[in-house]
Amino acid sequence: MRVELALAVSLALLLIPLSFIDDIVNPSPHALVYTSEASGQFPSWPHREWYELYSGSLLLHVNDTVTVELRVSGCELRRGVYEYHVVHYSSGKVYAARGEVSALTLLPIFTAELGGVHALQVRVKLEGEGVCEYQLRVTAVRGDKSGYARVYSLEAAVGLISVSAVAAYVAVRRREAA
Amino acid sequence: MKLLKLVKWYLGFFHVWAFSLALFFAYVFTYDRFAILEVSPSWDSLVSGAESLQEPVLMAAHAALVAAVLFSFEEGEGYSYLRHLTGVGRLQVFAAKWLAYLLLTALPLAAARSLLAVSWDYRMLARLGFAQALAKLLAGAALQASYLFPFYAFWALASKRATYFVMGAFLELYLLESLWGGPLLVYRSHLMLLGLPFNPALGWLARDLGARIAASLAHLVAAAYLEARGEVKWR
Repeated sequence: MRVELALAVSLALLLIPLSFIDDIVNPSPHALVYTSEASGQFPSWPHREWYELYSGSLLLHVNDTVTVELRVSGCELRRGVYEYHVVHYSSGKVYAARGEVSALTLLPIFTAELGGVHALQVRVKLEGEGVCEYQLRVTAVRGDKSGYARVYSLEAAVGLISVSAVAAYVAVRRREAA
Repeated sequence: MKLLKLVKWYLGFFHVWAFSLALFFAYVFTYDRFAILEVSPSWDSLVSGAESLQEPVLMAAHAALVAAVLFSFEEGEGYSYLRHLTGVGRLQVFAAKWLAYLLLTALPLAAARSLLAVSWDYRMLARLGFAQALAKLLAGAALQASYLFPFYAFWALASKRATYFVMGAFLELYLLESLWGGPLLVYRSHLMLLGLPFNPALGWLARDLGARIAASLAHLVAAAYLEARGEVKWR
């Protein structure tokens, strides 16, 4: 009875990788894409300080990508610089990019190398005339999960093989004892 | 030796424990391993990020089934044996049932959520706060289970057969999102205690929470009275 119980529990534990594989194969549509939009006006000119447009944290998994799109309109822009930081919270890994701001700026696409909470920050420093209006769109998209699928399949296979090995051993011992 | 016998008797509820293990897998199945979520960088948000809209109903259904086992088959399940072993009164047995119920219903939920939080980012374990978030989660799950307990305990004690009780409880769960929502709406308290994201479409379910807690307490008193009196006359 005790052996059967142990076998049943370890067989049941196989359900975890199977459930995770199911999340890869049949993803729920609302969990595939995350979008966040921010808009507003810059304070009056001149400002030479860094101005924070977006800061937030997202739970991402390996290969998920984050795209940031910045539109600036309504002002005469002489010069503009953005700084884009992504920090993986638990390991402290930093991804940083810097570039020129134009009317429509596509910031470099960030691809997550580690799973976990990522803190994102976008800030700009602009010089120009008039009132600047900006629109910022952050989109996170689920990336390729075939690596995860392989790992979970391997986990399930190893679990199944070890459970059946123990079961076969128990069966043989019982037959010998009987 | 007596204590050992008690432990052995308690572990003898094998089917109930097995069902709780099954519920653990059901919870894991309702969460999304690869969800992209907006969270704050803390264990709290990771643990409460692992949630689903099916979770409150699953938990209530599980609570109803455990209550049916604990209260509809009192003699059969050996609580009289417990009283014989320890020589305690009926109210203490009621408290013991409540404890067993808490262990059986709150643990699978807490375990499933923390499994997902750990598989999302195990490196967070090096940071502080996991134990605290886990304690908060356990406390929330235990409180939500305790809110449901009096309703199910009373109706399991009062209804004539376990089958009738389970049918009624599941019918109530089925009507949960309709206008005839029944006495125990699970969403609001679940949201407060376990960090379910609030869905505005369920807003009308949120009214009169105080009345619900009062109803829960009234059911608790009634259930304790029935349990203390022993065999219910009309059963």
